[in-house]
Amino acid sequence: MRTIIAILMLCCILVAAPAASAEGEPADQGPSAAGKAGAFARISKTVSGVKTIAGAFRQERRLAMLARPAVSTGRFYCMKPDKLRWELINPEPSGFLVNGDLAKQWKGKEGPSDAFETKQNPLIKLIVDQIFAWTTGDLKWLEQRYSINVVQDDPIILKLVPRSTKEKKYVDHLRISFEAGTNYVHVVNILEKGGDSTRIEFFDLVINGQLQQGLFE
Amino acid sequence: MDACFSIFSSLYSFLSRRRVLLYCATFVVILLAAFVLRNIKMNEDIAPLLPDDQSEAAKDFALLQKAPFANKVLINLRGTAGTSRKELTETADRMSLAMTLPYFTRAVSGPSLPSAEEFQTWFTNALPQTFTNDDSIKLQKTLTAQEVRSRLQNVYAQLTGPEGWFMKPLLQSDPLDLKSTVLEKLRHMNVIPGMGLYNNHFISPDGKNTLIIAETPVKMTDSKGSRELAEDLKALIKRVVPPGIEASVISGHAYTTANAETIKKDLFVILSSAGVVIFLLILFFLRSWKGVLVFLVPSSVLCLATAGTLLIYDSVSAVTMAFGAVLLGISDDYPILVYFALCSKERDPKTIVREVAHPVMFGGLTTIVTFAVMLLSTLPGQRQLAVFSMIGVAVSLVFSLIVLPHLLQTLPGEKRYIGARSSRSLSLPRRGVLVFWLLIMALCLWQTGRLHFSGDLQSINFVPEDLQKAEQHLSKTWGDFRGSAVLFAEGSDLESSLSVNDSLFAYLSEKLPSGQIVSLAPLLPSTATQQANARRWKDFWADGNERLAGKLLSEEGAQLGFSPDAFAPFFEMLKRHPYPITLEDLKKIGFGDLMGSMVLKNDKKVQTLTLVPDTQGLVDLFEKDEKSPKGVRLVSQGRFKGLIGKALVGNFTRYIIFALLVIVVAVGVLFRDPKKVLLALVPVVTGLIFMLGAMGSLGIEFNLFNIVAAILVIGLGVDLGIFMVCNITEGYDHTANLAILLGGLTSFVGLGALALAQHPALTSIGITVMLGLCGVIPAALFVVPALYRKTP
Repeated sequence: MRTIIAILMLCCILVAAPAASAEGEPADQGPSAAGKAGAFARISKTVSGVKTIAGAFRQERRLAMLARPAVSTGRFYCMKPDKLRWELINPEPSGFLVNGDLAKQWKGKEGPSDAFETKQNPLIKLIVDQIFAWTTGDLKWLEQRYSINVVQDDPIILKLVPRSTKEKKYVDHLRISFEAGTNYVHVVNILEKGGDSTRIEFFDLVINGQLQQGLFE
Repeated sequence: MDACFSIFSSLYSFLSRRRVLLYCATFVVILLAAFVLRNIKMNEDIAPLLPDDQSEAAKDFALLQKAPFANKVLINLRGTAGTSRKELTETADRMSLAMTLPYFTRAVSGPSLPSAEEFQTWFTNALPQTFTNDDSIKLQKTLTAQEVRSRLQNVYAQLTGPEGWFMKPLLQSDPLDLKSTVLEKLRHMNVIPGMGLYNNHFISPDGKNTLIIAETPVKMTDSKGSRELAEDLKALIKRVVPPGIEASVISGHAYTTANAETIKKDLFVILSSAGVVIFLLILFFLRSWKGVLVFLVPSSVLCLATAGTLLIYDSVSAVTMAFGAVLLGISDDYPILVYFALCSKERDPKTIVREVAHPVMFGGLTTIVTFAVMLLSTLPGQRQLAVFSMIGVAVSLVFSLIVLPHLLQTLPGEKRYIGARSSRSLSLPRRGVLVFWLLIMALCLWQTGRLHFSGDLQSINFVPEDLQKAEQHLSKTWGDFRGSAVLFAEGSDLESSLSVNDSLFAYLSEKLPSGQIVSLAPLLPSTATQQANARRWKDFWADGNERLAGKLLSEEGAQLGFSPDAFAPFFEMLKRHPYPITLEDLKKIGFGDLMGSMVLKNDKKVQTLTLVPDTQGLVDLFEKDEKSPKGVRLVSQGRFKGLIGKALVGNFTRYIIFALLVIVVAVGVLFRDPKKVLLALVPVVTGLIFMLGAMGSLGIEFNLFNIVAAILVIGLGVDLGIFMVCNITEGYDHTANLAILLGGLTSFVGLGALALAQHPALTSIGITVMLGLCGVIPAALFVVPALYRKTP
C-alpha cells in the first residue's frame, strides 16, 4: 500500500513536472543550420569516446519562494550505457543510483532503499534521462524533446526550448554550456516561466577514469 | 384390494394372446427412449446442487457470487530463485495480452493507477470533501511551530534535491503535506493485502510472484465453458510462460472443471462397476440365462428414466446420472421378486402375477411416494433426482409385472436359482436375533447424539491436490482476499447506498482495526457526508486556523530561508470551492475496476460492498448486535456454512417426517393390520437408526448430498419390509428370503458403487446409504421374521 501511495504521490508530482514527450511543433532551426551541425558534430565527436564520466557539481536554485539561493553540492558518476550515481553531499546528504532498469534512492543518513524499477518511479526516470542526456551529450534524446539553438559556437552554448506544451507551462528554456576545448558539459541552466532558475555547474570531470567498484550496487 | 391386483392377472391373460405385440411395443418404447437419449445433454454444473428458493442460504449464495473476486480468474506466476522480477512481469504482460475473447474480456497484471493530471485535481478537491473529524483533530495537532518547521525542512530538502526540479508547484501548494491525509485513505481501497507494485505490476513482497486478474464471460457454473476456458488457458500458459516460471490458475471455473471431470470419470466407474456386479450377482443367484431377462429390466429402466427426465428437463445433471447405479440396484428388486414367484411350476402364472403384484406394487408405490418427498427440496438437483427415481421405479413396476412374466414364461430355458433344491432357510434363533438387534439399536441411538450437520460446501467439493496447493500458495502470498466476508450496504439509489455505507464504515471502525476494512466510504462518502466534511473543512480554516497556518508558515519559513509569499498557492487552494466527489470522478482517475467491483447496480437497488476478514466474531456482530447498521447484509463463507447447516437440519427433519408419514399411510392401506404395518416398518427404522448411529460414531457428517441417503434408506427399507411381511404372512419360504437377499445385495452394490467415486459428494451418499442398508437388509431378513414368528 505504501508503494501505491508513493506512486500516486509521484503521479501528482508529474502533473507539475515537464512532460518528456515530444509534440508536433516545428523545430527551431536556429540562426545557422551549418553552425548547429558543426557544433553538434563536435559534441558528438567528444562524447563518442566517453565510456565513463565522473565529477563534482554545484547546484544553485534561485526561486521566488526562497529568500536566498539554495546551494547544494555533490558528486556524480556515470557509466554508459545505463549506470548513474547522483550524490548530494551538502547541505543534506541524499541521492539515487540507477543501474539499468533498477534504481535505489536514499535520504539523510538512511541507507539506500530496496531496488525498484526506474519505470516504476517516473520522476526518477525523468531525472535520470535528463542527467544522462546532459552529461553524455545525448543530442538525439535532447532534440526529441527540445528545439535546440546554438547560441554560441565556441565554447558551445545551446538553448533548448521545450517542444511539449505541458513542459512549456513551467519551463521557458534550458541553456547548456560546454567546456571550451573539451566540449564536455559545463553548466546547465533551467529557466522557468515565472523567473525561477536552477543552475548546475559540473567541474573536476574525469573522463573514462576507473570508477570505484560497487558504486552502482 | 385384491380386485385392484386382479387387473394384473387379467392383463396377463389379455397379453398372453398378444405377446408379439407386447414385445414390439416394449421394443419401440425402449427404442424411443434411445432416440431421446441420442442428444443427451448432461451438465456437471454445480447450480442444481445449490438452493434455488428465497431462503437466506439461497440469497447469500447469490450474493457471494457478487464478491469482487468471485467470478474472476486469477493466475499466479511464480518464479524460481533465478527468475528476475523483470522476467516475471514481462511474462505476466505477455500472458495478459494473450488472454482474449471468447474466454477473456479483460486481463490485467497491475492496478489501474490514476492518471496524474486528473488525480491531482481530484485530490485537491477531495481534501475538503473527505475531511473527517479525525482528520480535523490530526491537522490541528500539526499546526504547531515544531511540526510546521519539520514539514518545511522536508520541503526545503526536496527542493534542493533533483526531484525538487519538478516538485516545486506541489510543494508550494501543499507545504503541510495534507495530501497524505487523502493518500492514507487509499489504504482502504486495497483489496489485495499482500500486494506490492513493481513497474506497475502486482508483485508479492518476496518479489517471486506476480498476479494476473482476468474477467471472463464464462459463468462459473458452466462446466462446458469452464472446461474450454481451462484448456485455452493451459495452451496459453504452455505457449507464453517460459520454463522456470510456474503458473497456477485459481478460479471458481477451475473447481467447476475439476468437479465435472471427476463426476464424469466417476459416472463411468459407478455405472460400469454397478452394472457388471449386479449382473454377476443375478447370474450367480439365478443360475439361468433367464436371469439376464431380470437384469434387462433395471437396464431398460435406466434408459427410460433418463429419457423421461430429459423430457421434463433440458438437461440431466451428472449427479442424477450417478444415481443411475442406485436406480439399477433399487429397480431390480421388483423383477427379482417376480422371477422367484414365477419359479413355482405348480401354480398358474396368472395367479402368481396377481399375488406378487401385491408386494411389488405396494413396495414400488411406497418407494415412489417416498422419493416424491424430495420434490419438496430446495435443491433443484434433488428434485430432478426425485423425478428420475420416480420414473425409474414406475417403469420397473410396469416391466416387472406386465412384460417380464411373459418373457419368463414363453422363452425357452428353466427358471432356476441358487439352493433351489435345498430346503434350508435363512432363519436364526429368534431370541438371539432380537436381543442382538435391540442392543445394536440402543448403541446406535446413543451414538446419534454425536451426529453433525455440515453446511460447508468445500468439504463436498472435489478439490484436486494442485488446486488445493495453488489456493494455499495464493493465500500465503497475497493474503486471504478471496475469503473475505462481504458486507452489502443496500439502498434504492447510489446516494442511499453510500449513506448506509458511511454508517457501516463508522460502525466497523469502532470494532475492527482500520487496516482490516476495505471500503469506499473514506474516499467516496455520500453527498450528505461530503457536505458535512466540506463544512468541517471550511470551519476548520475559518476558525483562526488559516491565520495560524499563515503565521507559522511565514515565521518558520523565514527561518529556513523561504520568502514570505512562498506558499501563496496553498492559501489559494483553501479558498477554492470544492465540488462533490462522484463515482464517475473516481472511475475517470483510474479506479474504474474497483468501482465496478465495489458498487453494484441493478434496476431496483444499489449495493456498495465492504470487505472485512470472515470471522465468527463478525458474524455474531451482525446477528446479535442491535446497534449494527440497518440496511447492511453480511455475506460470508462462515455464515453461509451456518445457514446451509441450519437448512440441512430443516430439510432432514422435513424429509424424515414426510417420508415416514407417507410410508405409514401406504403400508397401513396395504396391510390394514397394525402388527403387519409395524413389522414392515422395522427395516426402515432399523436402517435409519443404524445409519445415524454409525455416522455419529464414525464422525461422518450430514451434508447437502448425503441427506438424500435418508430417503433412499426409507425407500429401500420399506420395499424390503413390505416384501418380507407379504412373504411371511402369505406362506413363508426361503425363496422369499433369497429374493430379498438378492434385492438387498444389488441395492447395496448399486450404492456401494457410489462409494468408489472420487467425488466427495457421491462418496458421501454411497457410504451413508450403505450404512443404512447394513441395518435394513439384516432387519428385513432376520428381525422381521423373528418378530413375526409366533411362540410355539
